[in-house]
Amino acid sequence: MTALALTGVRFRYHPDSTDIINIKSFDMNRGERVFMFGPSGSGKTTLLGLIGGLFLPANGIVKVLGSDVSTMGHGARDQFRSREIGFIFQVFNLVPYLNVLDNVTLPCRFGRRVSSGFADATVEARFLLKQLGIASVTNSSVASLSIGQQQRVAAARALIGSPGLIIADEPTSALDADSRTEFLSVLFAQAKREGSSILFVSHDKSIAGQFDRSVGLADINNAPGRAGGDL
Amino acid sequence: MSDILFLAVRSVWHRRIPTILTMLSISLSVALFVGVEKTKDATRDAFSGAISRVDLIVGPRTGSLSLLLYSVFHVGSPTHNVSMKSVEYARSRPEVNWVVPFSLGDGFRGFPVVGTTPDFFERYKYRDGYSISLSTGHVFAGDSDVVVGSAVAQTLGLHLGDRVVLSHGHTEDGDGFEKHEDHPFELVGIIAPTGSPLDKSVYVSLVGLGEIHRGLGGIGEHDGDEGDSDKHHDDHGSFEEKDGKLVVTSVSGFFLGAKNRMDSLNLQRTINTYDGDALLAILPGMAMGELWKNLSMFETALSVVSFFVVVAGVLGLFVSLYIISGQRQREMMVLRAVGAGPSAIFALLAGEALCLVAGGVVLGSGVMYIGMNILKPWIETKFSVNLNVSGIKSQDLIFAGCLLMVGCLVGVLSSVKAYRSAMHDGLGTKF
Repeated sequence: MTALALTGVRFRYHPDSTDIINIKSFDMNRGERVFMFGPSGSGKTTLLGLIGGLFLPANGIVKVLGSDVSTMGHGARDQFRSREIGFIFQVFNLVPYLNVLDNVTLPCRFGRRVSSGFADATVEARFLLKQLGIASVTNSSVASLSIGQQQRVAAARALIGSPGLIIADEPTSALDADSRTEFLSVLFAQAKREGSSILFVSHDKSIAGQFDRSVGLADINNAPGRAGGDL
Repeated sequence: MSDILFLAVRSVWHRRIPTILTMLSISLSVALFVGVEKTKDATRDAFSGAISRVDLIVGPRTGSLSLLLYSVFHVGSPTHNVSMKSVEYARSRPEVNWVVPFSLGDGFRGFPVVGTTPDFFERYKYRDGYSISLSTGHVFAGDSDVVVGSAVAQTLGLHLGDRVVLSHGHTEDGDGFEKHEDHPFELVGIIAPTGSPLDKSVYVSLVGLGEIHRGLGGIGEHDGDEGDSDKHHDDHGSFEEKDGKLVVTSVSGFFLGAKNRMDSLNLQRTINTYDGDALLAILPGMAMGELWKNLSMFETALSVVSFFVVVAGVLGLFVSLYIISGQRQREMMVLRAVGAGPSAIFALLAGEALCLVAGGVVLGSGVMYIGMNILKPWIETKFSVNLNVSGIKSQDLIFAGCLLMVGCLVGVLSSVKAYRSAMHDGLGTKF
C-alpha cells in the first residue's frame, strides 16, 4: 500500500493565474523516507498543503494512505489530517501558550488516536519526549527551549499516535550541522518504530544521502516557471 | 468543546497583559456609558421629581417657566407679589382643598430662604408623592424658628439649636446685601435628603420672614408695584403691622391642591381670569415638561457623549482584537495542521473575544455601580440629585447585549482574517 500517490495534480491560487503545481505522478511507499528538494518558491509548501488537505487541487487525485483527500468534505479532511498526518515546520512549530507536554498531545485533542500500547496521550507523549532526549523539558514553557529542543518537541507532536505520514517542511534549516544530524537520527528512529513514512522537503541537498530516496520537485512539477526551480 | 475551552483559557492567560488592558478599555467605556446614562436619568428625575401632588402653582402674572423656576427651583425671583386677598380667594373656592403660600427673596449664606406656612411640609411632595420628612427636629412653630434642607445643614455644618442670621436679599455667591442681625433664627429642624431643591433651601414662617424686615423698609409701604427703588422687597411679599403684630399682606405665590385633580384645568382658568389680581396659575407637570423640553439639548449632548463613548470602546476593542489576531496567524496555522477545523478556530477566537467583552462589561458595570453607591451621598448633598443606582434598566441590558454582539462579531471577523491568512500562507514558514 502506498503512503502517498499523486496523479495528475494541478493547483493554482486564482483561476486566472498560472499553475503552481502540475504533477503527473508521484508515489511514496509505506515506511519510506523521501527527501524532496527544491529552491525557495518552487512550490514545496503548496504541495505540502495539497497533501495535507489544506488546499484542494484543481484537477487530479491526492491519495494519502489509500484515501483521496481531495474528495473529502471539510470536516473529514480535518479529521483525516489530524489522525494520519504529522507536520513539522521549519520554525514556530509550537503553540506559545501551551507547555511542551500540551503541545505534544495537541493533535489528540482534534481526533488523533493514541498509539497501541499506551494508556493515554500523556503517557505516549512522555515516552516520545524521552526517546527524543528531551524528557527534562516535559513541563517547561516552549519559550524557554532552544531551537533544537523546539524541533524535537515538534517531532514528538508529529509522531504521537503513529500517523501514517510525517510531512517535514525544512525542519532542520534553523539547526547547526551537529544538531541536524542528531535530529534526523532520532526522527528516523522514532518514525521507524511507529511505522510512519516521512516526506522531507528542503533546499539543503547535503542531507539527502540519509534518506531512502531523493526527488527534485523541479523534476516532477511541470508547472510553468516552476520546473527550473528559478523562483 | 472542552478542548477549545482548554486552549482559550491558556491563550487568554498567556496574553494576560494585553487582555487585561483591552478588558480595562472596554470596562472604562462601559463605566462611562453607565455613568452618563445614570447621570442623565438622575438629572431628569431630579427635575421632574422636584414637585409632586401640587395641582397648581400660582404667582403674579409672568411667564410660566419663570414662575416654575422661582417657585420650585428658587431660580430668579418674582417681579410682583400676590396679595393675600387673592390667596384667600383661591382658598375659598369650593374646588380647592388646600393652599400653601410662599415668599422668596432672602438668603442664608448662599442658600435661598422660603417663607411659608407649616402646612408646606405636609402638602408639598416630591418624587411621585414622597412626603417631606425631617431627619432631626421639627417643623417651625414660632416666628424665630428655621428649618433647613439636608444639603444646607451638611454644607454649613449646622446643628439643631444653632443661631441662624438670614441675609437681606439673596445672592448666588453667599450672603445678601445686608444681614438681619437683629432677628436671629434658631434651627429647629433639618429635612431628610430628598434629591430635590428642598435640600438646598431654608424655611421660615411667613411672619418670621416679615419680622426680619421690620425697620428695613419691608413693612407696609412695599407691597408690590412700588417701582425699582426697593425691588428686593417685591421678592418676598409684604407685611403690615397691626396692634404690634405683623400681618402678611402679600406673598410671592402659592401652591394649590384641588379636591379633585380633574378640576385643576377649570381652576387654572378661573384663577388666570381673576379680576382682583393679575395672576398666573400653571400646572406643574406641564410646565416641567416644557422646561425639560427647553433643556433637552443638555440631554441630547449627554446622549451624544454616551454614543461616542460606546463607539470609542467598540473601536478600541476592534483594534486590539485585530492586532491580536494578526499576531496569532502562525498559531492558527499550527492548529490547522494538527487537525483543528474552521469551526474550532472560530469558536476559539470568537469565544475569547466574547469572554473579553463579557469581562469588560461586568467589570465596568461593577466599578460604576460600586463607585456610584460610594459617591451617592456626596452627589445627593452636592448636587441635590438622587442617583438611582440599584435598578438595571433595559437600556443597560441592551447596551451590554450590543457590546457582546459586537465583541462576538469582531471575534468572528478576526478569526476569519486569521483563518484566511493561515490558509493563504498554507503551511509556509513566513509571516
